[in-house]
Amino acid sequence: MLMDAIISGSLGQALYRKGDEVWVLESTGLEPRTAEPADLSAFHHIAREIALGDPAGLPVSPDRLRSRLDEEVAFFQGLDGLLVGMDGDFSASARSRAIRNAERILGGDPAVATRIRARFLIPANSQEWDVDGALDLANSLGAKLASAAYRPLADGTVNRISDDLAELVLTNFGVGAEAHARREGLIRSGLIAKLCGDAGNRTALLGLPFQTQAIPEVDKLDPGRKILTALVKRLAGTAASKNGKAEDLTADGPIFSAERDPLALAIYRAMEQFERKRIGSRREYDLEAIQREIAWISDRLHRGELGRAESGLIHLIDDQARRSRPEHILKTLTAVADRARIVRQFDFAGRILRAADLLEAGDSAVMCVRAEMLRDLGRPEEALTVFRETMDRFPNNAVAPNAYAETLRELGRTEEALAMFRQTMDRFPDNVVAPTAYAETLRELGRPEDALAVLRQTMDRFPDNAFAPTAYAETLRELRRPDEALAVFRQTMDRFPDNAVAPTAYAETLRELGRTNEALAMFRQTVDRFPDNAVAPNAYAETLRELGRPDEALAMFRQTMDRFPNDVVTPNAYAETLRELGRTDEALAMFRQTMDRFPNDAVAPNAYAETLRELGRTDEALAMFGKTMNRFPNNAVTPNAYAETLRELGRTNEALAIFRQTMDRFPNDSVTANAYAETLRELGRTDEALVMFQKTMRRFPNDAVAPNAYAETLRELGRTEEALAMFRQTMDRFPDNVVASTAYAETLRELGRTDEALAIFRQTMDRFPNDAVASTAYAETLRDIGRTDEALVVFRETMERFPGESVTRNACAHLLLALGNSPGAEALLSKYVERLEVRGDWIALHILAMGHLRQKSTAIAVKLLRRGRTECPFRDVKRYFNSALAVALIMDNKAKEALVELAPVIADPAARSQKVTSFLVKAHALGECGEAEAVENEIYGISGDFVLTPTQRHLAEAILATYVNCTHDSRARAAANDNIYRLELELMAKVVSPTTSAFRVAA
Amino acid sequence: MNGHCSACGEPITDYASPHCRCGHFLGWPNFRKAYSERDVLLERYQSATASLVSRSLSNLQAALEKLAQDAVPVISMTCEAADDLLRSGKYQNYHFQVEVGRRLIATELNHGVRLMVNHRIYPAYGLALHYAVLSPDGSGLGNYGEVAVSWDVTPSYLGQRSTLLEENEFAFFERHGLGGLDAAVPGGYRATWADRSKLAVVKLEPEMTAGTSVADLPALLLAEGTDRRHDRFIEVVVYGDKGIDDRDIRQVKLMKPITDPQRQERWQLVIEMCGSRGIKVS
Repeated sequence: MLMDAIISGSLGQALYRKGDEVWVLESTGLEPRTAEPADLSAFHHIAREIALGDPAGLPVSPDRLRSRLDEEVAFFQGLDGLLVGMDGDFSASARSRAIRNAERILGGDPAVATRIRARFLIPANSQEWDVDGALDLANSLGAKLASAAYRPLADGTVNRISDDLAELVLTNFGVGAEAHARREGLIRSGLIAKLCGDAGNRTALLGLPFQTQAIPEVDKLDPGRKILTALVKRLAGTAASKNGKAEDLTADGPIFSAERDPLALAIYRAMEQFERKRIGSRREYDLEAIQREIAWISDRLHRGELGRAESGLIHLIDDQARRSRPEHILKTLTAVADRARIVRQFDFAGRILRAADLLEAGDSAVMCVRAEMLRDLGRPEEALTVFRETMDRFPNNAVAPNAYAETLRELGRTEEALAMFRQTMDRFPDNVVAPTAYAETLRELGRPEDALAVLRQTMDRFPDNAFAPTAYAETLRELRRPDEALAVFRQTMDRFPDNAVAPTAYAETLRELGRTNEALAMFRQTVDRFPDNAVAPNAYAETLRELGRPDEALAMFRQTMDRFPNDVVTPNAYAETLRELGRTDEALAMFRQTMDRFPNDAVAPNAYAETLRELGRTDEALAMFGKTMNRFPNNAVTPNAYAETLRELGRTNEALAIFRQTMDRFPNDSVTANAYAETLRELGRTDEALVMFQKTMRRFPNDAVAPNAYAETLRELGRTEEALAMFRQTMDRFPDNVVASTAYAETLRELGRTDEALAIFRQTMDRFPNDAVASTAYAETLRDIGRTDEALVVFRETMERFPGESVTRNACAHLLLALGNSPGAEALLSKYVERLEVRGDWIALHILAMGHLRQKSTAIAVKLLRRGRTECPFRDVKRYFNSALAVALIMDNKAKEALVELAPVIADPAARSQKVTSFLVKAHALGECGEAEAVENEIYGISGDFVLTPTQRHLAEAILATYVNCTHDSRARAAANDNIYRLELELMAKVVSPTTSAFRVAA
Repeated sequence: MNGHCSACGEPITDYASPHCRCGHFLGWPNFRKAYSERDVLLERYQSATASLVSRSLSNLQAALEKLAQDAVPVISMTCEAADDLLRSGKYQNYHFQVEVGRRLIATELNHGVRLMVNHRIYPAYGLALHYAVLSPDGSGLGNYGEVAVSWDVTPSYLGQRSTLLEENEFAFFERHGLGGLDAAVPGGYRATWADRSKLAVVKLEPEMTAGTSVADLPALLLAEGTDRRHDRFIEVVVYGDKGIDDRDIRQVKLMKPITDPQRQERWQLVIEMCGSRGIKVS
């Protein structure tokens, strides 16, 4: 820390003591150097402005001093710009440049701008100022902020207030040095600037006498605030006269008679009560009773019962006015406002904060809540300003710097956040929040080892705090050091037996390790041990759900909902489970109920809209997402889901624009960045997509989605070796990411390196025993190389382990179908389809349809395919249905209808990968319609435009043989049908396989 | 520095105060100190003159004395400081320093090693001093800033407030081993403004040889080094406990181009201010 730091904004230098030396820091960014007497002389005798390095005169860190120096330089430049602007000794061009400079600075940091105005709006000295000229210049330059600063000087407001002030000082304090000092002090305190600033806002003006913090010096210089009150009355009287409302503000009338807010009135009553109590005695008050009252009010707020909450709060204020002190009422107001903020009752929170201002404006806790509210409202820059102001005014307050840093972190300004946390740690070594948040940020930045080191230190420094060891264990878990994580969780559980987080996280880790029974037991224990904690029962139910025991999961959720009626997580998870089971109507009802019960929860409306989207009710889904976006502007999930829906509807460019906006709004959200890149990829703008993925990888080094998607894009572009290298790299970087290793193996499989693929799948299965994809892909690879019996065994084993996993079931059914065992496939799937439990499992419908097609039950196949297409929400996959439907229709002798089904696929520019099959099917259909010439044209066109796979070539030849050369020879026709069926099966493999991009799009 | 007040006869014991306790003006502390060492300076001057005569370099001595006589005090500073200096009398209402800051400098910051040097040579009044160099042509030292501000020395102001030290006070401190607890500052190395040419002769006599030409003399008097420690100059100190009066500024000279736009803007204000006040800018 640097001692005795002082700053001159005008010299652009800071002086400070370090050890036994005096040093100079310059705004030019040069390295600090030791000071010489000439430097001190410049500070003492030449500098026009000097401020303390720390406003309270405390030691500062080098970073803080640097930032303070920048602030002071900006302050000086802004102020001097305004002064030069009205200084007739300078040329018009110099004055214009100065005004422009001042305008730039006034439009920058609001705290600096406020300081400039406070200093600038003081009565002019004997210097001949050309204020009118400055105003004209500012107006002609379009410098609105500078113009606003000049106006009170130009229209005489400043001088009027100053004259009034002089008169009031004379009346109250007479003449002499003391009176002069008071007048000067009040001017310097920024009083005139504050009055000028509030002159246009009557409410603010009238509230000024009650806001001690607005002008911190006022109480010292104007005891009882007589002068301030009189000035306000005069100014408000003038303002009111202009509006024809002077009758409200007679000189002796109640200055706040215009205020009608019941909360404000309660505060006034309390203030009167306190005034009276000065001569009486105070009764003790019951803190617990107050906390109970606050809890009751919070609960009302939670339920959206604002009227009851307000009346409860007024009652509490009245009660506290009789029993306690103003600072306690302030605490109550802050607590309730914060609760209102949390439940997003911002108007109500705002009213409470304004009422708190009446009692003690600028209280640090009030300012923090206000800043938090700005953050919640999606106005982080303003929040930063308020936090900054709080930090400047309350250097001993540790909440503001932590929240400031958190906001920076949210804005993606992680390096600044880190620096701020660091400063806060230095400044408040006894505060545990800063180091843990610091470690959390390091973890986010992909520096888990550094995070571990900080957490270790924090654990040593704060042995009685349970948060640090839990975060430490979580980081170990992330680093895939589960044994160590488990050990630390275990220790934490022993050390803090009353802490419910560690056992829950312990159980979660067990669950991740595939030790589900132990996990369940641990969750169960935690549920019993902490009956008041809702997290463990929910996690317990989630585990049951994952294990394919949805009925038990539902029962557990139900119990938890009864036990914790105020917990919003449970009903959402319950509804989610219903949705997974295909009980969408019930899920929708449950989501709806949750939305009504918890109007401030963003999860339910999003999930509701998602469900609508799944059901194909996209217009309703979009409307719901739109509403939710307006209601929760700080939530990135909704605009992403909205954009996703647009993307599915083929409105890709709109989706792209929304993703772009969301990225700008939530620079810390990796999901948006990835979705944006995915959309670019979908639009065929692969180069841009690759660049975007790379950016995202750099920005979010801890995110595995971008490198996987990057590799996937490379794979699609045929750059398989690069893709392989990237997947390998991702596997090494994220050893606990199952997608990377599965995709790696899948790419090997594509390259025909099946042995290696099998080995990697095997490893993945061992490493991720809870993941069904790897074993399904493993079975598919066995199938590819003809080891179908082994494949079927693996499928069966996987289905036994993951009975709820439709992916494996579908892949197995597909294999049975390919083996000609249509009844087997149907037996496997039909019971699910019939039970409607797989509503939404359009893949199963597709397979069943293909089975029926194989058995010539074309009408049933057509029906199933139509249903599948309706239930499938994904535009990409719907195209597969179109193609299959066309084939089924051809086989059902409805070639003309087939052509109709094919038209949208052929016309869709994004369906390039499906084009060849669609053209072939179209040619086939045309042949069925007797248009031999058109068939020939199509086939030769396809051969010229595309490189055909062997199956496609066989089909093309068969179609030519049937409809052009052999004119409807029945054997040729059968061969064509057979080929087209095979081709469809090939295409379907892409949909069925859990490792192909078509599946991932769907997933 | 000893003696008695000519008005009340009181012994002068406060070497840092310009006034006697009776209120009589005794002279500025640096002036009184330099004047108190004048005899020693004159001895050194005579010795240097004898040496130059013996080496037939009297013509150089005469030229050097003329050069020093015509030289002016120059303070090198940044353009920001120059702007502050030239406008220090304006906008009084708008500029006020943080009093607590001033106090902190006066107390805590004095612990700095470099300031200890200052206190050894100018005990207790170092903070009232302004540091300039004796410049033959109005140029300054770029290591202290790109703007060289030179003053006219009038008898009523700088003439009685300015004294000279043979070299940079740090070099002086080191050369004479002034770091020890009992170390005493040797006499004869400082001069009043009137004796500046004598001090120049004393300082540069060993450096003048048969190979030195008159044209070499300005560079012997003032030369910028690679850094502050390597600058060569005679230091001028000006007593000004309320700052240095800018009324006698003769010239403002830009020694190095300014590239930063914000700083260029400050420099433009300096040019305009000089123009309105009739100060030469080069």
